[in-house]
Amino acid sequence: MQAIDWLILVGSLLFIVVYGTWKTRHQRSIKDFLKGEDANWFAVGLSVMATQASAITFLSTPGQAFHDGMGFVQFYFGLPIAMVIICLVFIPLYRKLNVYTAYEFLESRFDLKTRTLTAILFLIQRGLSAGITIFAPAIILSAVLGWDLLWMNILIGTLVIIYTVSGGTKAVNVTQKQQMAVMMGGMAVAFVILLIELPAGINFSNALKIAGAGGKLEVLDFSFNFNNRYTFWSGIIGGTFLALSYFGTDQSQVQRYLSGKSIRQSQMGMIMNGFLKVPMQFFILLVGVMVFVFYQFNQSPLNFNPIATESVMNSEYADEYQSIENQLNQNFIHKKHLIQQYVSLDETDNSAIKNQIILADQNEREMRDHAKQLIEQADDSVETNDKDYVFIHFVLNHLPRGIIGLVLAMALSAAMSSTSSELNALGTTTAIDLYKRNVEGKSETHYLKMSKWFTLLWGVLAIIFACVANLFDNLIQLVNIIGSIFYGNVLGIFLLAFFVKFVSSKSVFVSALITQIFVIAGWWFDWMPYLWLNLFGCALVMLMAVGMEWVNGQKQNPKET
Amino acid sequence: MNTKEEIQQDDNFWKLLRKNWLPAYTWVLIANAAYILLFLIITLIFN
Repeated sequence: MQAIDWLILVGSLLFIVVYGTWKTRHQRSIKDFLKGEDANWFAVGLSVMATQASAITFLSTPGQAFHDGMGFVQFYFGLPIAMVIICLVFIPLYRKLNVYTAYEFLESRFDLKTRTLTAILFLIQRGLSAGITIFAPAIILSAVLGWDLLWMNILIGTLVIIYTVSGGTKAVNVTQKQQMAVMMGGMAVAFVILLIELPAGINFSNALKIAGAGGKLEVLDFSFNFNNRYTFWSGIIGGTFLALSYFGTDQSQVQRYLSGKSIRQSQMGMIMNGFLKVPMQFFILLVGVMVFVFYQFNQSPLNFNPIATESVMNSEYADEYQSIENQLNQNFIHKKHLIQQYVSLDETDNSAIKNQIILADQNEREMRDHAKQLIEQADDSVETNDKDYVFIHFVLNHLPRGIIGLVLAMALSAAMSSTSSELNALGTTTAIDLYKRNVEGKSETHYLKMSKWFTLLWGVLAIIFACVANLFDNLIQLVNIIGSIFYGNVLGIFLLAFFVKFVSSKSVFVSALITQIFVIAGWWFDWMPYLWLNLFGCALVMLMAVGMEWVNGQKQNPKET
Repeated sequence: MNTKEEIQQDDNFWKLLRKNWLPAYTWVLIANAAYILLFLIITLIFN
């Protein structure tokens, strides 16, 4: 990193923090601090998008496209459908009841204990996720840049705490505008440079042809294979379901659209998200595909994670690893020659060469898989899946001075934008659903002060969790599992609240508790892949509550049977 | 009538859904279908 990179990185991050803090320094009421309610549709839309886009979105997604192509975009096909449902059903009701949190609505519909239960489930799940949102980019950047992991966690967390505790929801909204600009600006610049760096005679169209030959442009998969995580069907059905639970019941998103100055502004913000999310993900994946094309003409490492390479090179497997690396280099030269031939020929003449390219790709994949096995044998605690490191490796080794600083600012901005929404939501839920609901009769100033303290507390907890996260194996998966254990149950409760009028609070609460026990048992005894626990929890709580209500109805009106 | 009773008696969610079927909601679904169509074309052309 050169001085200009440091200047851009530090300058942009400090500007966002100082501007956000200064712009929202006059927060006098709890409503101002937690709700905002002055954002227009554009600010709401940007805020919703910036909350969902974490650093992993920008660092890991291009790597996903590099290895597995663009199929991941299918995961977002259900999102626009979910946006429409949220605009028509969720937003009008939340606004009508003038709630601060989504869980507050559940007390109006059911009772206090259901509200408290869902609020606590949210706090557990989102509290852990906030730590990971800080930890995940910190570990990647510390591995490639050699920065201290502990200090990176503390730095990211502290910067977010400063403006989130000071300015609340408004500060989150204000800073997310700039953060989104840095994120998309960084990605756009990287894309343009990738186009410029293409070898002479290779234009964008040829680049797509090369990516296609490598199987990276198989965007749609209509198969019904349950083992394939990203298909058209899982995207449309599972994606709608997942987006509905995330945007409809997760306070970190609900709080974003409740900050709109009217129902219409909140709805239009969500519609903006529905319009832009799929093309945005497509663009990020396209950057990854262009990185793939770039490495067809430039040598790439056997494994992009420098820590993994270091581990295996310091082990007894070093010679074997070196030998695979040599084979990879020979394969690279052979494939580069084939690709040059492939783009120079007509479609009718090049099918034989295309088959040879596919074969060379297959060989490369086998070499990389073999290398992963060696890394695992050398040190089973090291992350062998290097998709998180592909894009940052390209950035650090091939982008010009200044741009490196911009891309690093992009990653850290993304981490900060997601974390700030999470801390804002955690502080709000603790203050409104747990504290204010149980400690009534205090002044407005008291609740405002407590909201700030709770936000600070969650910020400190997130940093502590990020700092100890390294001690656990496969932590990100663990957090996803925790999310899957709780999300389905919470969504089921909300769907009952919205659509099943005859269900009483008692049936819902008992069903939710029983469902939670069953879902945990399902995970513990490995009844199904953990992602399906979402659907299982949602369906079980709904069926059980409806069943209980029906049985109660039969008991009360025995003559009707 | 308290809020709880109001919500339980308020059965107009589906009416609201039909009434508020405004162009923006329709367009976002049409745009989604157009994106999928574009991806289908890309998949067919480059594979």
